[in-house]
Amino acid sequence: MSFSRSEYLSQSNSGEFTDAAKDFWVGARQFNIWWALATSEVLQRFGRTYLGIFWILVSFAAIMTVKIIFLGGLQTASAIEFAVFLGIGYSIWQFMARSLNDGCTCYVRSKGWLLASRFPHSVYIMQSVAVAGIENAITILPVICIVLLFWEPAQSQVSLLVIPGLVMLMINAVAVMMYLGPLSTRYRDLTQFVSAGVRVLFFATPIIWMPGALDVPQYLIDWNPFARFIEIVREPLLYGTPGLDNWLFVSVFTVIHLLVAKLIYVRTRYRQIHWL
Amino acid sequence: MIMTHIRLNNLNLTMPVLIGSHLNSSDGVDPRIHYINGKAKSFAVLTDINLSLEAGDRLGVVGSNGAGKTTLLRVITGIYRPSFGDVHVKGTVESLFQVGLGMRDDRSGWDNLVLRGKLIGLKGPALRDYVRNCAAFAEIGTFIDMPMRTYSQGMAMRLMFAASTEAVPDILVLDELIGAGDASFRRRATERMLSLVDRSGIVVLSSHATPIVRSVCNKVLWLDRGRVREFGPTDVIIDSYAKAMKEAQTGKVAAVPRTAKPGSSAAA
Repeated sequence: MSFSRSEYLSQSNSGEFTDAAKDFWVGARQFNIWWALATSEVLQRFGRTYLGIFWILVSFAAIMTVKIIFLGGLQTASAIEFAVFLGIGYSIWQFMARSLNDGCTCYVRSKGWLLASRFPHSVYIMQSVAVAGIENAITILPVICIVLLFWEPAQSQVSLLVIPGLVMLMINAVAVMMYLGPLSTRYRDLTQFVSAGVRVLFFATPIIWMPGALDVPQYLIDWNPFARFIEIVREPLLYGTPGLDNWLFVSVFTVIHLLVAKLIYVRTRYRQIHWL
Repeated sequence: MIMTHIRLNNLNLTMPVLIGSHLNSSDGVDPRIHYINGKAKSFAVLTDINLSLEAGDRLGVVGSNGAGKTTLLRVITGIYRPSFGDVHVKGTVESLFQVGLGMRDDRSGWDNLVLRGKLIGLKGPALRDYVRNCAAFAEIGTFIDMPMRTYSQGMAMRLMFAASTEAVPDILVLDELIGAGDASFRRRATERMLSLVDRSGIVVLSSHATPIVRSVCNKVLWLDRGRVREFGPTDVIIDSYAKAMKEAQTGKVAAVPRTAKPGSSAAA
């Protein structure tokens, strides 16, 4: 299947980077295509199960319960505060972990499409981000709703910061895939490296332990972008404070992240097809 | 408005060999492979291709295995970007490399058709018409609402064939003329394929079946190890191609003359 509605193809050995940048925007705007691919991927994955995509919620709830029972006692905070802390942190973490791991395979998984169709390659990036978004929205959104309903500090206007916070997470997920996709297609070790790194970072990020409860040097938390990305969503909800230092860190990080992502995307766009 | 056309100017395509292996073969090296320190680094798949096609042209691409036919089709589709030279393709392109691509086997045939339709950019009534027409052509009855995993191979093929041949592009790119199913369906499939060929502005058909090329195409490009060996009207080129193939079979002419010695082609 490779019908392409783009009506004029003009390619030469020059102008590669400009074409690649244009190609990115064309693909990103083809919402109908990448959304159709993403929803059909999710439906296929949970095909023939009774609970379907709600398995993600079941597994999340089970892990949450076990963690609150076994780790709650290690914290200085109350059990409820820890539950809010863990619920938000863990659901956001899963989205970031998923984006990193899927980022490495977003082209390799779509090899058949890449070799048979003229879709802009950003379609596969948006598809992967959409799949990660759909599958994690099913835990993130209920957690946020429950926190808003039952956790008093969250009931203020500051909680509206959650919306730009989630948007920031999506933007960075796109950026991650823009470079992990091509680089891990070329260097297959990267996929394994990222998957191991994600598992290690889970323990290095304040998700199952609260800063202050453990004797962790503060700079390890301050310079951990994962911790900052969790905090832009968690701090307004947990403590009702906006966390401007987190927002400053995340904004600067995102700008640099996007620049790096664009640089690598345009340089690899027309080569990665030979790396598959 | 510019009319549908395809232009390839001095097209070259080199592919990297990611895991370069040392040379074990003793019968010389193919001059298209570029070695560095005895390891294969890259491979010149297409060299100096010039081609110009206008609306109405039906091009047959012939050549032995490894001549670069599929690669050329992919360049025209826009999958590979030239390493040197340029490609200009005006018009919507449909390339049938893999009719079954993207089939989700736990979803029904109907759902799969809807997905296909969306991917070619259809929505609303156009999408509904597309799905109905494909389902009607495939003639698989109530199975259209069953998961595709319950289909026989032939049924799945019929549905995917119908889905791939429903919309008419400006430029149709075919890697072998596909048919599908049992005898009665095969006849209808061939008719549908030929009608699609008729209605498309330009057709590029790569095939080993010279009778099909003869009946469909008005021009033929004969590729030989990534280069244009001959290009011209169908009858002339097919005759000389068929003759060369026959000679290669009877051993009068070596199919791939290998003259270069290992190492001497390092700069090629």
